Amino acid sequence: MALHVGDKVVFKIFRYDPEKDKAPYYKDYEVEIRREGMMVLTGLNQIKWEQDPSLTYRRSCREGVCGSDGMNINGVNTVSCMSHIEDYNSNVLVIKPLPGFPIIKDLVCDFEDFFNKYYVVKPYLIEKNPPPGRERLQSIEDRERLNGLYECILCGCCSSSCPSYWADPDYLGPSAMINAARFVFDTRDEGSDERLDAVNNIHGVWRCHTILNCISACPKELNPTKAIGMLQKEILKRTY
Amino acid sequence: MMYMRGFIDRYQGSGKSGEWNWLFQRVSGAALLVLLLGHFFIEHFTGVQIDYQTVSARLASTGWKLFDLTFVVFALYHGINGIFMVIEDYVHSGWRVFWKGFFWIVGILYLVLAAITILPFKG
Ligand code: HEM
Ligand code: SF4
Ligand code: SF4
Ligand code: FES
Repeated sequence: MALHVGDKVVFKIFRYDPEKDKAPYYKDYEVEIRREGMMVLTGLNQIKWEQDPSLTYRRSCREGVCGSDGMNINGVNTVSCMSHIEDYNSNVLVIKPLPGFPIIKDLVCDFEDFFNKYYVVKPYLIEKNPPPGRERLQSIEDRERLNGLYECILCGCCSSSCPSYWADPDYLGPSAMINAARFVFDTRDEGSDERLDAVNNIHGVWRCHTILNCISACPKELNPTKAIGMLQKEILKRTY
Repeated sequence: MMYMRGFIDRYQGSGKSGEWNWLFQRVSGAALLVLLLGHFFIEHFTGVQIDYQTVSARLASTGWKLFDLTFVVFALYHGINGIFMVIEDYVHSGWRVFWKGFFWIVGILYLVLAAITILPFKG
């Protein structure tokens, strides 16, 4: 559906202020298209700045780098700054906070549990020996193995879309595990044993049921399922 | 893992990491695929008359006893282990111990039932 400057679209937004509201509700706002290919985030800004300053959501970079504006738009998790309004082919956009995350206010979710799970996989290079020579060199081929793993912006869209993550409150989830893989398969890293130990767990790699929701959810087009498979293979390789 | 291992998880027994269960769910699934196809082919496509005479003669032979017992063991392992996985997905309270125990008993009862049906059969 092509939208043109001057067209109007309705944003049906999930609203909830636990200090005021007894229950969550949806509120409709009219958004005016002011440039071709306008993003959902630009529409949210329009509402906040011109119509209703009480609307609460997170955003920062507005270009798919910071990962703060993960939300559910017409049933699909994504970051609003990378989503063209017209791509939804609809005059109405239903905008909700990320499913499966505790809600703080409106579109703002509590990421504490999500980040605790991220820290479990030790998402940093672990050194056991001093670098050989001046620095830790990595061949171009070895660096290329990290493509598709390192780009994660921790937006939470994948974990929030995962039925295993909803069902098991202790499940590490696709985001933490793609980040585990990012370091396990880094040739400069020397901490893969402890990292694999952290994910070799009924709440880790073995809880994934290859439902594949995480792949469709990821706005960076990463493949957490494949990363989890790589970790499973690596664990089995080291055990047997 | 300090963060994850809750009270219930510490009473999981030897299959703690889930690695073995995961692997053998796939191994038994693959075995079932082969055994099931074999079963269908033999029962329905070989053209052998299925009546009491032929079936009881087959059931009395050692080779078939072995085939059937293997089939039962894999099917039971796969089915019960699959239920364990569902329990791990959804039950996070002390009820997990109850449900896993319950299905252990169900599995063992069926295994015993299968063994005393298959093994002593003489026709
Ligand atoms: C054609 C042969 C079969 C194959 C290849 C197969 C394969 C699999 C695989 C790979 C899984 C793991 C799914 C996951 O982790 O998400 C699974 C789960 C399961 N299977 Fe089978 N299976 C077969 C037959 C059976 C039969 C005959 C039963 C019933 C006795 C059964 C019951 C289950 C159960 C209860 C689960 C757990 C449900 C789940 O984890 O989603 N399967 N099967
Ligand atoms: S593939 Fe695994 S991690 Fe991804 S959504 Fe499915 S269960 Fe979750
Ligand atoms: S893997 Fe993709 S969806 Fe998941 S947190 Fe990273 S960028 Fe977001
Ligand atoms: S605002 Fe930074 S990713 Fe969308």
